Amino acid sequence: MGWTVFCWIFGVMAIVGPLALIGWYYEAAREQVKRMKAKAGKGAGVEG
Amino acid sequence: MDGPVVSLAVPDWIVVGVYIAGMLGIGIWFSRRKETFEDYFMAGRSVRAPLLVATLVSTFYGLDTLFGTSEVGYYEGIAGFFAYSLPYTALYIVMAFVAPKFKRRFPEHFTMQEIARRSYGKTAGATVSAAAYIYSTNTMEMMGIGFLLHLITGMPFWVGVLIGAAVALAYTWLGGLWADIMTDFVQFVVMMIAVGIGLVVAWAELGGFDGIWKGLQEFTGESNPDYYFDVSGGYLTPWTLVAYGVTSLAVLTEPAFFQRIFASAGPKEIKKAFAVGVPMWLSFDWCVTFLGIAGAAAIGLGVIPDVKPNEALFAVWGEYLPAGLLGLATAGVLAAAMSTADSYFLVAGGVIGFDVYKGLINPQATDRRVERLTKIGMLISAAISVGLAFVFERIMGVWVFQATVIICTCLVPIYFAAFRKKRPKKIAGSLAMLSGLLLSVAWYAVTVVVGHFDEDVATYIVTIGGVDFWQEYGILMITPLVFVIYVVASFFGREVVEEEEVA
Repeated sequence: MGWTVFCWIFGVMAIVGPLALIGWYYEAAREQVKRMKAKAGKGAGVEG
Repeated sequence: MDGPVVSLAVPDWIVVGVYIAGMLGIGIWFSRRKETFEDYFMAGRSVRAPLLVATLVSTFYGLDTLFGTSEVGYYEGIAGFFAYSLPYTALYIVMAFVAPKFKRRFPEHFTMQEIARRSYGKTAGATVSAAAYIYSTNTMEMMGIGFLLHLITGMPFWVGVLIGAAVALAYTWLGGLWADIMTDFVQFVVMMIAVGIGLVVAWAELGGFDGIWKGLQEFTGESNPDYYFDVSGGYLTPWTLVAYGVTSLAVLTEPAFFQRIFASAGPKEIKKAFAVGVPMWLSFDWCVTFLGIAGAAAIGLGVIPDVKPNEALFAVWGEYLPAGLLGLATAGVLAAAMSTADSYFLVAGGVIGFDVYKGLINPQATDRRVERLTKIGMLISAAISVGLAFVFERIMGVWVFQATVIICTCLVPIYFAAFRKKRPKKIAGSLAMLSGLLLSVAWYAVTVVVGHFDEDVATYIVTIGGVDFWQEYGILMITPLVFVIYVVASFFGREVVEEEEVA
């Protein structure tokens, strides 16, 4: 019984853990992409 | 089995296809948005915690963990988790405290190899670069991808190896560390969910603990296979546990970890990433171990055919996961391999482009030139990885060799350089690193040439004076020796001066 409970706990952790990070990840990735786009735009301006 | 172990339906192939196309798309997108070598190799040093979690977890966990740990679970039960995986977890926790200190101490560094070069000079830099290149060779992942594609398509092993290498190399080549990190997140989510769903579904379908127990009785032909639920597997002594666990020290000298630590936005981000990463590593290990146990039970119950131990996990998925989810699981396995392969291709490339060319040959090299040589280094590493995939017979044999080389060469001198208050002596670092590298390679050669392979403990053993020395013992013998060499040599020679550090 104990092993089954732990299998559920770790199984659910493996599923829910990464999903819970998606929002946090999305924010970080969006911010980074925005920064890179801005940097690329600025660079083009300087070169141009 | 010669044919495919599982059959994928159309929705499964769509999931796998979308996954591969997505990885390539990310590589192309980032290839257009990098300007400097720091952008390419260090992701602009702006990687924040959520991205770090994913890249740390998925980089260190590849197919060796997936297939290797499940194989241990299949044969020895929960010892796979408690005896093999927990030592790694302990060192991830140590790294959670140590890694931020490295970032504070060396905020502008690119690699661990740079610590060696700046602290001890060019000989030490070259030696650690050689060790890091050997460590970063992706043989295990190449073998794993070839094996996986053979399992699901029946295609020849070598074709699978080439396809895996080409895809992972393509997006990393194009987008550098950003592409690597962004794809790592997708890969992290897919591989974690795949093992989580796989375990929950398989455990329930096999009838929970009672069903598994019955299956294990049938599988082993024993009325009481309680060693499956014994932490020591019923036979592991404290000494054998140390021998198996010692390779986990590689966590402390992991070149891909160091690259990510230096690429992070700061020490706080690293702390947060490890705090979230440790439970993820734990749950992955647990799921994979118990999927191995479920595989053995499923064979005993006649649910799946009598496949090889490392095929059992996949065969269980094939039996229970519906179309679409099986594709996700397949993509998860590919993800586990590619997230590791891409990271080490980049690390190996950096050794050639940054550590050797810019660090040792031409410090004035332009970013463009360094990036080009990094890419050439990646290509060479990929060719070696693919070549060695046909030479090595055992996945774990490769890992023991690589872990021995990186631990024995780097552990003592790198940590002395980072945390000892006195300025380091050039000769101490150089001698210690050279000794570590040469002795670890020599020990591996001796065990393979003079020793014999023991099927029971799955390693090479050399018998000297009636005492059995396992291949893994190399780390336990050489590391203390390197420590002594370092300490003794520290009484001689001169300290490294500031001008040399920046030269």
